[in-house]
Amino acid sequence: MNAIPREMRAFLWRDARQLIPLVAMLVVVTTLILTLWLFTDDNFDGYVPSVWIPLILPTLLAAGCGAILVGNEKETRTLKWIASLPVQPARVFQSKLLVATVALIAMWLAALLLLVGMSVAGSDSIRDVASLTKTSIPWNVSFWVVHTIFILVAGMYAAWRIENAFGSLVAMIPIAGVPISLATISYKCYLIASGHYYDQESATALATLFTLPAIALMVWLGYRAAIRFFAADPPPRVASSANESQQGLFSWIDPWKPPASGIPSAKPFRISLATLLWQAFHQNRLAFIGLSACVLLGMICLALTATQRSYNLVGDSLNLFWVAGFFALSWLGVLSFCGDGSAKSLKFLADRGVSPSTVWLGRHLMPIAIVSAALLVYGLSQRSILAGGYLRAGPMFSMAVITAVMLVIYGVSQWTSMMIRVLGGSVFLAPLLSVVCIGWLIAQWTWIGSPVWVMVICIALPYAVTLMLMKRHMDDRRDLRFWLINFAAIAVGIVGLPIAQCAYQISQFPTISESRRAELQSMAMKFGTDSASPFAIMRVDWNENDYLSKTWDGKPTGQQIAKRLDAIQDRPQDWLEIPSRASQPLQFDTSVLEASIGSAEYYRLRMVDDPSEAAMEQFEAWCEFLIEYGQRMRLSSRLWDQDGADEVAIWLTHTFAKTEMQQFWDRPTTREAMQFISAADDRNEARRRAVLESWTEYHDNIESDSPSRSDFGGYYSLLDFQSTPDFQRPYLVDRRMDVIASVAIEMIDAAENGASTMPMRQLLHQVLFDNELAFDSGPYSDRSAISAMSPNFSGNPNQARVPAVKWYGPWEQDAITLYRSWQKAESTQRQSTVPEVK
Amino acid sequence: MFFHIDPANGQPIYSQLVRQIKFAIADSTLRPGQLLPSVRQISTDLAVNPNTVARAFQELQSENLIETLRGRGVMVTKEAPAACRKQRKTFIASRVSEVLNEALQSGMSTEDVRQLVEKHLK
Amino acid sequence: MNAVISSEQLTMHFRGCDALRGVDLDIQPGTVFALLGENGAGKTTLIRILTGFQSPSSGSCRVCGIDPLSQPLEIRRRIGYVADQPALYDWMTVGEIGWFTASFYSDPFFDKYRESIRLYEIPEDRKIKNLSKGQRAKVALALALANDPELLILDEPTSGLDPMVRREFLESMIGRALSGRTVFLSSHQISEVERVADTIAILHDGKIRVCEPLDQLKGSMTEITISVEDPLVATPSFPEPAEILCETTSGRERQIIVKHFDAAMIEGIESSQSVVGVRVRAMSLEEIFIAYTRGSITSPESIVSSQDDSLEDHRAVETEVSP
Repeated sequence: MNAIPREMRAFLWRDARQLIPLVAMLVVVTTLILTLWLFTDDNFDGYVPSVWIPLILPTLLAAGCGAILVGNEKETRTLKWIASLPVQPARVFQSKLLVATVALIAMWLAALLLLVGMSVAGSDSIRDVASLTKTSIPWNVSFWVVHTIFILVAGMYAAWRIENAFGSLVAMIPIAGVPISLATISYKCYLIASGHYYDQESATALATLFTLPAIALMVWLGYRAAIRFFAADPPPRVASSANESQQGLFSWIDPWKPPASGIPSAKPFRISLATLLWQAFHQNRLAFIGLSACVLLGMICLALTATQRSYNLVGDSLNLFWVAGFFALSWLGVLSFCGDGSAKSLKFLADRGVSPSTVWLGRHLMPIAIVSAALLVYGLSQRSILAGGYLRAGPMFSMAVITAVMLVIYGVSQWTSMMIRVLGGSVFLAPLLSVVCIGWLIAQWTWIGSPVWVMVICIALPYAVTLMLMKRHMDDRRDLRFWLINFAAIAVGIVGLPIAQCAYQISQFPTISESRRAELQSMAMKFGTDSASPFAIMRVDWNENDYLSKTWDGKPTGQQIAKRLDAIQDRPQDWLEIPSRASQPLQFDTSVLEASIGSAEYYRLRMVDDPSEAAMEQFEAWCEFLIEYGQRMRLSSRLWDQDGADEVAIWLTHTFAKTEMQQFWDRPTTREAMQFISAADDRNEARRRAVLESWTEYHDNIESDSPSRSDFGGYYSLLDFQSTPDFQRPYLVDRRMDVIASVAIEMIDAAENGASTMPMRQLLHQVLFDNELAFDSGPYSDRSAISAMSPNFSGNPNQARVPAVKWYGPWEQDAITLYRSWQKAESTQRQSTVPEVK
Repeated sequence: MFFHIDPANGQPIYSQLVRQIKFAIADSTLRPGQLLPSVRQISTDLAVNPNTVARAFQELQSENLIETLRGRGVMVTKEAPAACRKQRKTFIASRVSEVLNEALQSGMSTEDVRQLVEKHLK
Repeated sequence: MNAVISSEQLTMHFRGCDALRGVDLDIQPGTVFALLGENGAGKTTLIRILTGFQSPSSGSCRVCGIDPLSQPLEIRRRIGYVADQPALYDWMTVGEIGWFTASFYSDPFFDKYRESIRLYEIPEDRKIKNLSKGQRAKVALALALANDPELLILDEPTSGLDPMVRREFLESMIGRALSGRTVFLSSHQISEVERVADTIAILHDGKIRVCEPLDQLKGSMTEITISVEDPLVATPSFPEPAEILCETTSGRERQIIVKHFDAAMIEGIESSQSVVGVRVRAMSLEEIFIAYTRGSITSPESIVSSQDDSLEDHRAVETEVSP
C-alpha cells in the first residue's frame, strides 16, 4: 500500500466509496431474482436460462460504472472542483479505471461462485455452462467476460466524452454493439464468399478477437477524453463570415418567423397541468423525441415480425428494432423521474405548492400519450397486415396483451426511477426489472392461474405507488416510511397478492375434514391391509405353444397349417393364461374382456342359431370364464378392477335379458350368471373395500415417494388436471383423492339406503372436471348412465377414465328385474316339474 | 480603545482612523507614553486592509504624534495632546463655518443665526 | 517587483457575445486586488482564464510568472481558489475531504486544515451535505488556505452568506495581506471591498474602465450638485484636469460626477451663469461603481472629446424628468 503514491490512495478510496452503492444494489437485485428463481425453478428451468442470473452482476456493473464514477461526478460538478486542485488528470482516469476493473473482477468471481452454487443446488446450470462454451455468441460465457470488459471501458469513455449523463448511457448501447456487428458482418461475408457453413464456435472466436483490440482502443479514447476534460476549454470558433452568408440566404424568412420571446407572456396556459406538460417536454426535448420515435418504430417492427420467419436478415433486424423499442419505452419511464435535473425541478414545483397529483399527471401524461399512439400504430399495422393478405409466419399478439406489456414496462420503469435516483443504476435496472415483471405476469397467467383482476392490480400497482409517494418524492424526503411503502407494495401487491389468491383458490377446492379422514382410515383398517395384489391375465405366448412350435418337416402346405389350426380348440384356456388359484384377484384388461366377450357373443349366436349341446358347451365355456373373471375381479382391491366386474355384469344382464336366451334359462351357467349379477350386497362390499384399499395404497405410495405407482386404484388419469394451473396441481391432487374416496363411500351408503346418488355424483364431477365440462355433458350425468336394456347399448365394454361412473346406473335395476323374472320363471318351472303329490 | 469606521461615507478610511486617534489623544483617552494597538490588531478588529492602518500610522508619525518603539509598537508622544487639541479646534471651527454657511444660504438672517447660537450656548 | 498577475489584451469571444475585449492587468504581490463588475461583465471568465480553465480567444497572461495554459498543474499548486457555492463531495465528512485534498499537497496541509476547521467550529465528522451554506463556504476556504498559497482567488465567495461568515472571509483576506500574500477578490459586496481592498478595478463591457488604488480612486471622484435658475442652461465647463464623467438633471438641480475635482474650482462654478448653489460630496465606492457602469460612460476618452461639443451631447447623455 505504501508503494502507491498518496494521491492515488485518495483517488482509489474516493472511487471505491462511490462504487459501493452500485455494487450493493446489484447484489440486492440479484438476490431478489435468485429467490424468485428458486421459487420457480422446477417449472421454468427450460424456459429461462438460469445461467443468465449470475451474469447480471458483472454485466450491469460494467454498464453502470461509467455513469456512477464519471457521469455522477460531472453532474454534481465535483469533477470540476477536482480540476481546480493540483491533480494530474491521468491519475484521476487511472484510479477510476482501476477501481472499475477490480469491481468487475470481483463481480465475475461472485457470478462464478453463484453458478457453482446453483449447479450444486441441482439445476441444469452446469450443463448449461458446459454447453455454453460451444454455443452461439450471446451464450458463450468466455466471450461474455471479454465483452463486459469492453462495455466497461466503453461506458467510461462515453461518460467522459458526453456531457449529458443520460445521453452517455444511451450512447453506450450502439458502442457496445459495434464489435459484435463487425464480427458478424465480416463472418457472414466470409461465409458468402467461401460457401462454408455457419459454425458457432468460430463465429464466437471471431467476435472475441474483434473485441480485444476494441478494448484497447476504448481505453485510449477514454484517456484522451479525460485529459481533454481537464484541459482548458478552447475558445469557441466564431465563423462570422459563414454566419452572415447564411443569414443572407434565409433572410427573406425573417418577417415570417414567430417572435423570439424568451419568456412567455403573463399566463401561457390556463390549466396548470398544461404548463407542467410543457415543462416536462421541454426539459428533455431531445431525449423525449428520440425515445418516442424509437418506441413507435419498434411497434411497427413488432407487428411486422409476424410476416417474417425468423433467422433471416430482415427478421433479425426487425427483432433488433423492437428490442430497441422496448428499451426506449423503459427509458421513457426512467426519464419521468430521473431526467436531467428533474429532482431539482420537482423541488422547484414543490416549493411553489403545486399539488403532487398534478405534477404526477404532468410527468406521465406525455409518455402515456406516446404509449397510446404506439398502440394505435400497432393496431393499424396489425390490421393492414391481416387484411393485406401478407403471409403470416409468426405469432401476432392481441392488443390487450401488448397494452398490458407496455403498461408494465413503463410502470415498472418509472417506479424504479423513483426508487433509485442514481441515473446509472436505474437506466439498467429498469429494463431488467420490467422483464422480470413481465415474466412474473406470464407465470401468473399460465402457471399460478391468477384471475384477470389480480393481474390488473399488479399492473396498476406501480402507478398507484408512485402517485402515493409523489409528495414525498417532491420534498425529497426519502425516510423510513418511503421505503416501507415501496417494499410493502412489492411484497404484498406484486408478490403476495397473486400467491395469496392462488392459495385461496386452492383452499376453495373440495376437501374432507379430519374427522372424516379418520373415519375412512378406521374403516380401511377393518378390511385389513394384506390383500393380494391382482394378477394380470396374460395372453398365451404362441411361441411356446405345442401346437405351433412343433417343428415342421420341410415346408408345410396350406392344408397342413389349416389342419393344425383346426386342432386348436377355441376355449378361454387356449388363448389366455389364467392364474389358477380361485382366490387370486385378477386385473381388468379391456382388450382381454373385449376379446372374450366377442368370442362369447360369437358362440352365443351360433348357439341361438342351432341350440345343440356342442354349441351350448362352447358358449358356456366362454360364459363361465367371463363369470369367473368377473368374480375374481371383484376380489381385487383396485377400483379399476371393480369396473371390470361391473362390465361383466352389464354384459351378462344385457345378454341374458335377450328374449332368445330365455330358452337357456334353465342351464346351470345361467344360474351362475344370475347369481353373479344379483349379488348387490357383494358388489357394494367389494366396492367399499376397493375404494378404501385404493385410497390407503395411494397414500402409502405418496409417503414412500415411489414414483412408479402414481395412480389411484388403477386410474392413472386421476392425476391429470386439464385446466388447472400447473402450480396448483400438487396441492390439489391429494385433496382430489380424498374427496373421491369419501364421496364413493357416501355413494355406496346412499345407494344401500335407497337415497339418490346425485349429490355425490355432482361432487365427483366437480372434483374431477370442475368447470371444464358441464355436469350434464359429463360421465356422471344421467345421460351417460348405462342401461343394459337400452336398444342403443352396444354390448361392448368401455373403459371409463374416472371411477364410479357405472355405479348404480339403471343397469343395476335392470339386473334385479332380470333376476326376479328369472327366479319367477324358474320357480314356476320347478313347480310345473314337481310331480303333484296326490 | 474602540474605533469605528464607515467605509461608505466618502472619507478615506485611513483619514477616519487618523481623526479618531487624534480626537482620542485630544481628550486624553490615549495618553502620552501609551502604546497603540498594533497594525495587525487594528486591521483584524476593524476588518480593514492593514495597509490602510499602516498609512494612518504613517501620517500620524509624520506629524510627530506617535513614534515607533522597536520591537514594542507605536507610542503616543509627549507633544501629541497639545497638537491634537489645536487640530481639533481647527476641525470644529471648519464644521461650524460649514453650518453657518448652510444656515445663511438657506435664507436665515444673521440675526436669526446669532439667536440660535446664543440659545445653544446658554 | 514581479507582478503576481499580468495580462495583455485578453480577449474572449463567446457565441453571441464578447465577454472580454482586451483586458490588461498588472497586479503587484502583497496587495488585495478587487475586481468589480456587473453580473455577466466577464469577471468569472477572466478568472477562468487566469486559472487555466479557459483558453482565451487572443491575448496572454501570466500568473505567478507561469502561463496557466501550459502549466496548469503548477498554477493550481500555487494558488488557492474559492468559488461561489463550490461543489464538494456531499458524501464525505469534513475530515475526509481534508484528508482527500491533503494528498495532493505537501505535508503541513492536513494539520493546517484541521486547525482552521477547529477555529471555525465545524465538527469534523459531519457530512458535507449536512452542513449549512456558511459552513460549506468555510470548509472551501479552509481547503484553499491550507497550503498557504501565494495567490488567493475568491470569486464571489460570500454571496448569500450571513455577516458572520463574511466576516470570517474578510479576516482571512486580511490575514493573507498581513503575511504578504496576494488576494484577488471578485465580489459584489462593495462595503466589504471598500474595507479591505488596496486596488480596485472595474470591469465593464469587456474592458477595464479603471484600475487604481482605492484611496486614489475615491479621492479623485466627486459628486457636485448645482442648483440652477434656468434648467435649460448648459453645464459650466470645468477647468483642467477635471473631467466630467456623467451628469443628471432633475428639475432645477443638476448632479455632475467629476474626476480630479479640486476644491478651488468651486468658486469658478458658483460664479457661472445661472448657478445658484453648489454642493460638493465625496462619493462612496458603490456610487463610483454605478457611475462607471451605468452605460453612460462608454469610454473616458470619448467624454473628454465631447466636452467641447454642443449642449445636445451633454443633455443627450442622460436626462431624468422628475414627476
